[in-house]
Amino acid sequence: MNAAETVFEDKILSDASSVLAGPDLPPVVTRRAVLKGVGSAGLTVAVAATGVLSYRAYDNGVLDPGSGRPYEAWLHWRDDPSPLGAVAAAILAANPHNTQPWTFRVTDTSIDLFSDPARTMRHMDALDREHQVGLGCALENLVLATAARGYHSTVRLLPEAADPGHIAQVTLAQGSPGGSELYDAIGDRHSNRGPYTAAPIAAQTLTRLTALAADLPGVEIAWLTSVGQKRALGALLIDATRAVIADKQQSIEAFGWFRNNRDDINTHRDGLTLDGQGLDPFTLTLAKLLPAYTRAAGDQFWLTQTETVHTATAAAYGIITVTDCANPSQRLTGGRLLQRIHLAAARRGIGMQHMNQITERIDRDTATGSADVFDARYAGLLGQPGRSPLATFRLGHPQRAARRSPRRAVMVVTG
Amino acid sequence: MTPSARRLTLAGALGLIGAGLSVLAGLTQLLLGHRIPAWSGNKSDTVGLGLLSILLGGIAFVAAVSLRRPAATSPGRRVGALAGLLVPAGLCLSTIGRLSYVPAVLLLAAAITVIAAGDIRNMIQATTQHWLQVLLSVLGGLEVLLAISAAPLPIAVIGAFSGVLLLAAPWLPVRASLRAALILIAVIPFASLTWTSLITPLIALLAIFICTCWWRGIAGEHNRRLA
Repeated sequence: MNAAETVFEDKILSDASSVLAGPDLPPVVTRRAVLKGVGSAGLTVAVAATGVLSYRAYDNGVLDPGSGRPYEAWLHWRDDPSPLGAVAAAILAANPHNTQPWTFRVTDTSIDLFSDPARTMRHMDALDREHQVGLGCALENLVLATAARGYHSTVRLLPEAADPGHIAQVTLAQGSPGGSELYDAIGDRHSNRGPYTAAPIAAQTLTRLTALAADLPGVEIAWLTSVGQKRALGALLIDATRAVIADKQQSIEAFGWFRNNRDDINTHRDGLTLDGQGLDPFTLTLAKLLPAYTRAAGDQFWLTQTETVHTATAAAYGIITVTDCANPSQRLTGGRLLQRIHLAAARRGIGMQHMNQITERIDRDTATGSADVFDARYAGLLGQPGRSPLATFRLGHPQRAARRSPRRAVMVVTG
Repeated sequence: MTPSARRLTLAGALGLIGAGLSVLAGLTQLLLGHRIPAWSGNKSDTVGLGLLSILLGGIAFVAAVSLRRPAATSPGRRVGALAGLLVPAGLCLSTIGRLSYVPAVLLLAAAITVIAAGDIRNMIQATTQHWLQVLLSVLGGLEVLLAISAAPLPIAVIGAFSGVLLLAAPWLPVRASLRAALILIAVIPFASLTWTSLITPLIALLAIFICTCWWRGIAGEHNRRLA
């Protein structure tokens, strides 16, 4: 760079700086100086705004979704060959609102599964239905993981009548390692809330998924695959979504489990996140960069997604049924079947999303003594007298991969 | 020694202590950060956070040392030192967690002392004369910030390299065309690799636009001189 060029560069904004009055400056402000000043101010504002957005991108992990310590459980669940390692697999199970409502007690010969009463949702899950179904899901992962580690396990549900929070005792005996395709799918299973393609689920696939209930007494699976059935259940789901949103207590409680930024995720390592909403990359980035969702905006987003994505693109619905949906044993067993189906679906590249707003409203109406709005409609749609819907989900071939959900560490849930 | 010089010496001393403590905080976060989440801003990547603290401490150290030299009386150098103290102080306060609060306060005190040393008008003039370069460097700093939170590691490394390049390129004593090429290298690869983030393409567009304004300003000035 020659000397003249340096001089020119040093003078580049001298006109603009002359606007900042000084004793040696001419009294007349030139048009050129004003334009330069305005241009510089505009660029400064643009850079400042970019700074704010960059900080939000940094703070919300825009450039590293699904990585970091809250997500490490998804990478290391196979590492530990001991019974404690089986817990690492159990904590990746499906569960309501990612509340992770479990604790474990591990010895060399047994693993006890307990309910965490601090992680219930008394308005959204008024009768603890989903809470216990989620514990059943964790139990299934636990059994698969102990088998893969060479243990023969014996499951005893609700082993202490005096302690309903003691959910199950898994007694371990030495056996030979027995991996399975369901076990291998544990790290790939995520709720996929994004759009699914128009491709149907093959009847053969549904038959195989149905067969997973063979050794689980009392639980069955019903499939809704026809256009009419899907439309009817879709309408019921949308109505139930509206009812949940209109119920302030349910809305507030659900919003309380939404983690709006990375610091919240790092602190709690639970709850629902923007990454888990199945959004396309642009929309996801915008959602992270813009100010955090309000409860009302979050409710509206959920309703819109239910109308335009969840029900609109479902290839099929599955409903797990039992004879008594208030029975804890049946709930736990139903949870085990739900987890098996989700793992098997993940193994086949099929997306799955749990959609329990109808039963959430049924239980809420029961708990508050309100008139029934959804129970009779849902029973009519199911058309299986003597059986009740326990848990509902949709299936389909996903347009985009699901992302990981945050998980608490094994050490946290084993005390 | 004049009062102004005494204040700059004091600012340099405060800055050196703050920078040293920031490096110490960074080392602590690097080695023990995952065990003390409440002191590390609850960040998931405490290693990256520790490296950032050390980097910021290094920047503050250079700024503080420059204040202890006789050339610190130059308004441009004072502005540079001020930025080198304020930016780390701001990030320490807002992002890094409790461990960096004490160094942040010391760096902030050092920055205030630099301002208190006087000669504000010349410092403002020096800043406005190089304002577009300042803006480009700020964008470089933003790239570094984003790189720290990026994954996987190769992307983070490219981002950090790009950010440092964009931060430094406007001030390098090289031909304008080479400087423009360096700025393009500093923004385009990182933006291309992370385009779904939206923010890195925005930084790239803004950097290219500012660079163009700067270039046209130089050329216009040159033409007016010739005329």
